[in-house]
Amino acid sequence: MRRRLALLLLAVFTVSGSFSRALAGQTPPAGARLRRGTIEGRYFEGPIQGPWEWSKGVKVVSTDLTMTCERLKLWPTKDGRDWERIEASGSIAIQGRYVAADNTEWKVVGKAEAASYDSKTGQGVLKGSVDFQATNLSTKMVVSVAADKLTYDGKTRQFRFERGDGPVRVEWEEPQRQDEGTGSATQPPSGGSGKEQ
Amino acid sequence: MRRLALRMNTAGLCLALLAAWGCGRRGVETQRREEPPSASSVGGMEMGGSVIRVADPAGQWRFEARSEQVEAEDLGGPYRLQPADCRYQEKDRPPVLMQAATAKVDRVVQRVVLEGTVRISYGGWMLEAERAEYDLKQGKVVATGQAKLSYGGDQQGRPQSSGSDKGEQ
Repeated sequence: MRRRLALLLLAVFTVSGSFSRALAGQTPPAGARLRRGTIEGRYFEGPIQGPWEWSKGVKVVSTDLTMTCERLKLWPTKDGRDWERIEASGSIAIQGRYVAADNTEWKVVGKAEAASYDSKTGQGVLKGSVDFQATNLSTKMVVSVAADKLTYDGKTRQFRFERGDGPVRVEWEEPQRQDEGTGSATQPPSGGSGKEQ
Repeated sequence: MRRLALRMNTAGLCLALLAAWGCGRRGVETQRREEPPSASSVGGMEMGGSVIRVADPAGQWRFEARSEQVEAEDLGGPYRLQPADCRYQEKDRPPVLMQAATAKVDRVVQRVVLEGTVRISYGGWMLEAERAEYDLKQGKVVATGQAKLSYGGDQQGRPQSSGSDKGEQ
């Protein structure tokens, strides 16, 4: 197994290569995956119209997505049929599995200190010691990112990684590939050209 | 204060109501809720069949609890329902439906305590917990035990709440 490492000396990094196409462009918007599921915790409180707050061992289970955290706050819509916003904090761990349009399956794992998702803007954010990893279940290619902030824009379907005064760290692995030099941060190799068995 | 224990079931409820309220007296106005509870006054509560009703004097909300079995320490409550099937209706909002093994309805503090397999549904949401307190005045819920909220039931396995009757009064 060979590992490629790209250490980007950029404070802000927007993924725009095949990585973003694979992870974002071919997967359904995050909001669509959160439309049905359960949220549970040992303590719940809030006005019936919302916002609602859970604490103590919170777990969110949705279609293809599981998240655990210490606290979670949810704003339902006024008609009570849907939700507008979710905010989570404390030891956030996210695990998801996505099937792309070309039937490629990805396993995504993330850790952070805070998270939010706005249904209107379609924007999801992970903040604080963000550790993000995506594995292509077919090729076994693994992409890992360490940053201070991860933003997923549901409209542009792009991931954006930021790190205040340090570099965003991106690593990817292609287990069946003979290494041919350093990887490009914005054009990481995947699923095609140059890929060796 | 005289302590009266009532144990009502569907068959005996009519007799109990007649004895307490007098023959032919019906439909006590809910606006008299401000009166202190006593054995002779059930102001603010209307009991018909096995139904207990509490309403906001300002007309912003109303609450209704049904049960086959009701216990009361006093005619003015608090009332213990077992099991309980409740409905909270706020103006221009979807109804809040509550079910539990037991419910304690306290009209003085306007609070309902639900215990045992609690299910509260609102719009497309369903909250399940071991225990929940519902503040009728503020419309606020505190649930403990493993409080589990299910959502998105309109797509598959719709929660028991009837979101279609939004604003029903």
